[in-house]
Amino acid sequence: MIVHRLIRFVAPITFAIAVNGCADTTAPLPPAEEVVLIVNSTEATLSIIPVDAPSSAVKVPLGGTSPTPVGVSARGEVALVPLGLDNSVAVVNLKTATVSRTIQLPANSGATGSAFVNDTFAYVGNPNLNTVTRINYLTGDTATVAVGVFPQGLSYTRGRLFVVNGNLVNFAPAGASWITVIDPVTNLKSTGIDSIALTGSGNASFADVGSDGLLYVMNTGDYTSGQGRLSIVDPVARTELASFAGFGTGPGNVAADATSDHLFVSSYTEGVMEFDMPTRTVLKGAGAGIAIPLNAAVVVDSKGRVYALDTGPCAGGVAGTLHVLRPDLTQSSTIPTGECPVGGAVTLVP
Amino acid sequence: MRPFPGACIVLLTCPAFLLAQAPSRVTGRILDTTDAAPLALAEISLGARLVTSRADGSFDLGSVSPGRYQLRIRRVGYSPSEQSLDVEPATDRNVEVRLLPSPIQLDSIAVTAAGQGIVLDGEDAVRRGSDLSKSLDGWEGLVVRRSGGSGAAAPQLRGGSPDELLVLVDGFSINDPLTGRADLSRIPSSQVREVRLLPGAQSVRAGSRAVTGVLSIETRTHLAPESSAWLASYGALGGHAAATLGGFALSFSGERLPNQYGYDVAPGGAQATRENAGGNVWNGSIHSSGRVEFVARGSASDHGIPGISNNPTLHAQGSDRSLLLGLRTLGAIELSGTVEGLSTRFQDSAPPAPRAPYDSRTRGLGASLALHTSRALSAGVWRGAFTYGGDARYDAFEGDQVQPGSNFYRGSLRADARLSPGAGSHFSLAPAIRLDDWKNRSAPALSLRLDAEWHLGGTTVTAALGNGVTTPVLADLFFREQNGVAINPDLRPERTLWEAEAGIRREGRVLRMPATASVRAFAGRLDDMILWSVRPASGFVWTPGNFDVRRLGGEASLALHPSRTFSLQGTSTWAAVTVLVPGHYQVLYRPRVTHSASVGWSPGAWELDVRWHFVGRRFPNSAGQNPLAAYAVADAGVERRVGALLLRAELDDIANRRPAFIAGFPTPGRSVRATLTMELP
Repeated sequence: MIVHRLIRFVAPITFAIAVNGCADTTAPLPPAEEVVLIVNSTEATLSIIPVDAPSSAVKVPLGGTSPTPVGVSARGEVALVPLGLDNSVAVVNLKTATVSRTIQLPANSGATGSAFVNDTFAYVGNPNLNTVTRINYLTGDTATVAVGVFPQGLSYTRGRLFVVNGNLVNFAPAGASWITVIDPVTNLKSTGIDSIALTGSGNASFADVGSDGLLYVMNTGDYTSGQGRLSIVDPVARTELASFAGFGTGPGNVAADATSDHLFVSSYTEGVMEFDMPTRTVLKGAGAGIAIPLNAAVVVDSKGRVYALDTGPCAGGVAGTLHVLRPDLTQSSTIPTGECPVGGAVTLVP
Repeated sequence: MRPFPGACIVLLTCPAFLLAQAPSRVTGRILDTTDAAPLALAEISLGARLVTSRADGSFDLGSVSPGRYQLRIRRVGYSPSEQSLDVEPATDRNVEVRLLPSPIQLDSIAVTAAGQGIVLDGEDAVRRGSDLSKSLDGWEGLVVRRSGGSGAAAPQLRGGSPDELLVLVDGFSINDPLTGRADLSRIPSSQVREVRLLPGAQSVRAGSRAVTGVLSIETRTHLAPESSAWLASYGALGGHAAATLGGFALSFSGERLPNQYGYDVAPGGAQATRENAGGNVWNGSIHSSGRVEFVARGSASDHGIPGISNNPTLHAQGSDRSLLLGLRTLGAIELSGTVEGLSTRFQDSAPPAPRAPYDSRTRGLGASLALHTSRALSAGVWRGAFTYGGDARYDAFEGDQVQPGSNFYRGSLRADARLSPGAGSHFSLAPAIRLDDWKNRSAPALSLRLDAEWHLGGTTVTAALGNGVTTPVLADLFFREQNGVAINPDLRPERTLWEAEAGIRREGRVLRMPATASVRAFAGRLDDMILWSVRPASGFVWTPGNFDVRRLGGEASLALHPSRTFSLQGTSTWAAVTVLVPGHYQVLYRPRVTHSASVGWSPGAWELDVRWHFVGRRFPNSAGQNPLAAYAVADAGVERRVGALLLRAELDDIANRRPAFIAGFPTPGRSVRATLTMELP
């Protein structure tokens, strides 16, 4: 009788242990998380903001001696933040929210602009040296190659690195900008056409690859006299296809949205402007932008939500603001950032 | 960096230190000349010692090392007295001083009856360092902010910026008219008779720049003929000569800074060489004393501008010239005026890309005039002195660095008093009121302050409440747009909305040792503090802006005299200066905590001193991110007089911490400095 009761008691437990104990030992991976990355320049931090849980944002101090970061690029769980006057680039692990490595660049690099090539290599611009440096962000190895004058924007597509040369002398445009094409395999200027002329008054500083595979480049101009122009570049033929004025004074970065085929342009003076890529039409140009004060940058997530940065006063510990716009460009919410947010990116952290 | 020579260790442990020379006790009484009535509340200073006479007029300065001193006495309603006092070894002195009634109570045109402040005697200043930038770093919460290991060194206090501390030398401001900063590195300690610090919002009495306090430096009006030369192990050398001729105290100094020195890239990290850091600095002054004082000060420097360590500017050069002529009368009517000229030049023939070569010059001319009248005041039981008057100043600048038509004028009216309820009272009040007006201001700004003091035996309790205003430094207003700087036409002056302060000072005994202890606390709000910010997305343009901050903090100090030849001093400060935004972050580059300690030992002909100071972590931004590590520095010095020669050896930064107040401006680290001073016939 006692044995029977024991069997009745132990049997279910044994069964449960057997079933669960023999379950698949490889737990399912957590779902990939899409995050917006924001560079807070004067406080030298990187904000990691999950797009679906912005309240769980974290901030990563980037360290350095006198860092002046203004931009970020990302690939999966890795982000690169060039540190400007620190002549280095911070490699940030987005899963652990830590700087995993700081890679020194040549003296007086003024590190600005970066782009990933693959799971090992990336490029960083050295605008003060008219070079770009290929970095192995896993090992810290570097190799530098000469490009045009004041390279400050980088974009990788079609197996080539497109270096946007701002052509600034004494921080002022010295003439029209151009693109230098680099072959990452040889780390030399690409065979064939290695230089693409751009129309406009120079200070080209940002580029993004549109949903049509073309390269969209913003020529900012002189910050004072409404010289902003958008160049469309064919990365295969390596030629400028078109150039559009009408972006006013001091336009900033561009962000292509694959869901709407629209390109968004940030501007301190105009807010968020909009360009339709298929029809090549300026939808919201100078004077018609979405009013975002002190709008330094704009990024778009996979659902077509637009994130526009308001830098705030860039001093006194006053936080900036990330304005979240619906695909129809109406504002849905705001998210506080760090002091002086000026650059951003969106990535899917696996 | 050259190694620490073993000879210094031998020097420090020399048995000659053990030779003691017994000090003497100095006591006395203060009496009224007319009726021999005892005078209470007279301020008696001898060297660094400062006491107040008791109700019966008596005072006790304690044990004093042998030597010749200046004994100074001040009291409301009486003419100040100053006399030499020789203290012989092991011979106590009892001094009787009679004061002449007079409505005149003030000996400075700018710092009036704002309390006694904290005093550092010139001899102690020399012991603490060869120039005031070294001597005052860490003293009573002062933090000296350097741009590298040598060159300009600006003091800041209570979490303020360098342009928020007014620095007076012989009553005339040495704050740069353009930048608002004072450079203490150009004042040899040996030239200083006394340093007096009045912490707190003092702009009501002292005018613009006195947001966090006033540092008043009085130089010696009689300079014994002497000449000195010094040499530092990292390559710097300099000299100083002084004399008094025909009633004029003359002082001249020169310094040559090394062009290179080694430093650590990061604490414990790789070594690097700081280049283009050298130059020559020349300073000269003439100071006459008497009822009419004349001051002439001039300086010239030509120096490299090495830039930030990781972005060096190897060819940048700077030069500046300045000259100030000042005149002031002392008496019932105080009249003072200055004429000041300056020129600066910055050039770089081969700056790092993408900057283009530049050569910019700026010239400035300023003039000021002040008139104040003092008179005795009696209202009911209240008795004291009343001062009123006004001042005006005009500055004009031209050149490549400033906008065309850059001129600025300002004026003020001021009245203040110091009152006691009858003779022998232990209580005094010092109310003050000020009206300020300046260019482009629609209405005058009113400032008020009330100080109160109670003397209870060896205890002094002080309290103050007031507000204030200070004009933006002219560099904030006038920089040209083209230099990566945007003018803010809406920039407002900084306003101390209110500030309250309380303190207690006690002279007595701790563990049977003569001791002086003090504790002060302050709280206030400063609106429209001016901070510069950068707009990276529009071409790295810098622009000034206004931010409201809260100020809260305190200082505590203790001085012990375990024996007649041994003294210990320590000060700790805490200053939370936080921007009024969510998070309440500390304003950038304001350490919240500082500590300092010093030990002095004077066994006979030898004197030994060791100093240590700690600067807490600082943030390079006002968002509480990427803090710079705290640092501590210890220095030591030893000196001995041999006939007409004074030999002094200093070991700076003993532990070779190589601290940098601001990241990217490295310092030479441990260095030895030898000074030889010779009295001239």
